[in-house]
Amino acid sequence: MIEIKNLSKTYRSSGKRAVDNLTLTIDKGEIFGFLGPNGAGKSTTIKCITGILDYEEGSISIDGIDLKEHPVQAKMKLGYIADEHFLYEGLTGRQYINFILDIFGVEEKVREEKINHYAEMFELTSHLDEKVSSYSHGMKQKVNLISQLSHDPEVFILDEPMTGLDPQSTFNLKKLMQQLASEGKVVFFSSHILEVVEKLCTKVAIIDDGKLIKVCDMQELKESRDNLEDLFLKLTSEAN
Amino acid sequence: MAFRLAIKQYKSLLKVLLSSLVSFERKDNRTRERVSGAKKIGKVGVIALAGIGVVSIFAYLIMIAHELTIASINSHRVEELHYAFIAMAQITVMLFGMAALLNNLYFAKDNTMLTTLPFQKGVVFSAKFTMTYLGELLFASLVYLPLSITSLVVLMQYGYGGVGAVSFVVIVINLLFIPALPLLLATLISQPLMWLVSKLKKRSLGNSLVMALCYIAFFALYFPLVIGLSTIGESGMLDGGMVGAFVALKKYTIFNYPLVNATFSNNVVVNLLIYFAGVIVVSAISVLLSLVFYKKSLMRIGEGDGVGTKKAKEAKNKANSTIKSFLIKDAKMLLNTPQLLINAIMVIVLPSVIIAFMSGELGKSMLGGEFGDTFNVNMFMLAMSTYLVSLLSCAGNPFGYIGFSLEGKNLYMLKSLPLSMKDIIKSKFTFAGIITSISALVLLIVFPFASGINNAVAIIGLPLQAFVTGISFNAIGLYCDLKNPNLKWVNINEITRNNFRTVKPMMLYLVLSFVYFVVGIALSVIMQMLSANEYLIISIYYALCLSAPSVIFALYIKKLLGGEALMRRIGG
Repeated sequence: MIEIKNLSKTYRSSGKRAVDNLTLTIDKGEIFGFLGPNGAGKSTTIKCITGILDYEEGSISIDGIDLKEHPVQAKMKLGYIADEHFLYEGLTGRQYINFILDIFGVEEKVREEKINHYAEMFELTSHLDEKVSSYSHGMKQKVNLISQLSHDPEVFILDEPMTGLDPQSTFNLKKLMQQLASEGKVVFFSSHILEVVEKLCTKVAIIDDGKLIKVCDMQELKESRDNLEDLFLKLTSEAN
Repeated sequence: MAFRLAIKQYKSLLKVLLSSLVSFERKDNRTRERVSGAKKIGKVGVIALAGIGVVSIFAYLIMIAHELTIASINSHRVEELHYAFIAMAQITVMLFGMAALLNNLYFAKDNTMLTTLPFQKGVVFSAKFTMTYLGELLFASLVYLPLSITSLVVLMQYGYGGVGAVSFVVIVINLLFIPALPLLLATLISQPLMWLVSKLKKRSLGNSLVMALCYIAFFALYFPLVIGLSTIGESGMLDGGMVGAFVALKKYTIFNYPLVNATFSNNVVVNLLIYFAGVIVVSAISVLLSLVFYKKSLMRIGEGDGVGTKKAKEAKNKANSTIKSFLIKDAKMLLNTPQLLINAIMVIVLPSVIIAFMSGELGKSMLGGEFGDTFNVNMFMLAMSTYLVSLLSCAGNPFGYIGFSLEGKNLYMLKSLPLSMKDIIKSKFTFAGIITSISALVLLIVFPFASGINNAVAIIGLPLQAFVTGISFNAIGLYCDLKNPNLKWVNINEITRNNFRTVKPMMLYLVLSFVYFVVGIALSVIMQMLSANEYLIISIYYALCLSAPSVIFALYIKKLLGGEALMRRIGG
């Protein structure tokens, strides 16, 4: 579903190789955790997958569509929740969601039902017609989630998605991620909260200094009675 | 299918961008209650002053158009005059539109979010271009409509052939087309330039320099035109130089032929259709160019200057005082933010450029004509210089009126730091003052050479005037900004757009600068009539001009530096 082959990204200005020959395949139905210390290249990788950054080497394909060759078609499959979200402050939450759904060409009949469903789930129904500028960080995150979930993406990419969410919404989001995976969709997310990753993910990739250190199956990890925190600390300290 | 989706996406994005643009924050009830009777009177006063300022500018434009039209009828250069009106509006659009366009296209905060969405090719570029276009229509109308309407009225009074009711409809249609070519030209120039800059290592500084260069080039075009159009021979005819300028202008803007032709009722529909077709062709070229350059530039600009540069690795951790740290931070922000750097360069360089130009071209034409019988030329030049310099020292220094708003949401972070609110306020005032001081210093050095005026009072008076006007404006400007900073903006242009409070001091100083001009002109007449001593009159002039900003400074610096409570109130 997401296929990254030999991806390398060097920042022109600094010459820093933020991602170095990364190869990853994430299949349908997986909740894939993407871990690494600060500055390891997680955000750069995600920015390459979502089309924010250009990359000079390698390829990325989403559901078999090459991102460089067919960016529009590839992005149509994506839902992306950034760590630092941008929303137009002058719009209401509903207006912003409708804007995103317009871009994805979601039919009016469908969007009504979807918006209501997700707004209920994230307890935002009564605030949807308020200006984004009056929202808290968590409410903005919820608007972002509703807008990106409502167009029914095949691949859902989340960068630190739990930040700012209240416990109920965090619980709902985790349930939702599992539900999406059970429907055969891909959930790819980065987080520093290893407990959440350990509980949710089916597979985890650990990256450091732009290089992939390990991809591990969570079921195998559980069976070996190791825990993710120890493994993460061990691998990243070895790499350094 | 893809085209239909593109159109749909374009409409949605444009709607959102426009809604975001015109959205005003509603004040809550508590804020409303705080508006006392005295403040209401103050508000009315400011609005009245602003009204006077706007009316006086329109009156000036109408007067110029009236005189020029009569002179052009006598000189058989009516068509050329209308070419000049259109060119003036187009250069104004270029002047303001270049910054707005580059801000919207390349430096808006929403760019990163938009690059993640599945927009069809050219949609983001086209929507952002359209948004800028609509904004620039306003600037074009402020110049083109008063000039053209006045001219058509005069031409009708003189029974000039081809001018009738249709001409008035045509100029409204012309207005809709006027921003097209300058903005498209701006995109044609800026796209390859920004693409080149995006390949540089010092990208932020490169962006700033490209914008600054484009801006200064357009300013250099604009002022000769405006000032050139204000000079008419005493005989009521366009003098030789003016005729030459008009003919040259017509030659260089011959692409406006269909608009001028339509104005004089010649094949109106055909001419307007020809122009429209031309606009479509250039638009298509621009959009095609955007497919090659725009997205790539945007992605690279989105990378920022990157982390871990060699220089950064070698940098030492140096301790500074609080104020100094703030000043360094603001200086970095200035250098890395194109819009701010342009304004700073304008404030520092343009006064001297304008004075040099006026002394060279305008001064020579005045000395050569009968003008000198009525006005003292030096005093007249000083009045014009003082007017323009005062305007630039205020409106051109954003750190003087949106210093707090520029921080955006970082201001909350600054408030959380363990330092006194007074230090933050002081640092903002000091930084704005540094820009004002550099501008005054450059003027002090350049003025005697650029103007050829060797009167010691004038040599000291003008830079002193620029300095006092500048710092008094900074005091009132920053105070108004501190009272209600706009911290939620997508690009810097929106700071003033959604916050009328920051525009108020500008309006006040617009009127004040105009008063300087009027007083100066009056004194130049008195000086000539009474053959009064030049030193005495210029001393009186600057004493008068310095009094108002000195009073404003004394009143507002106290309010600003004592504004800790206002600072604490920010964010509720």
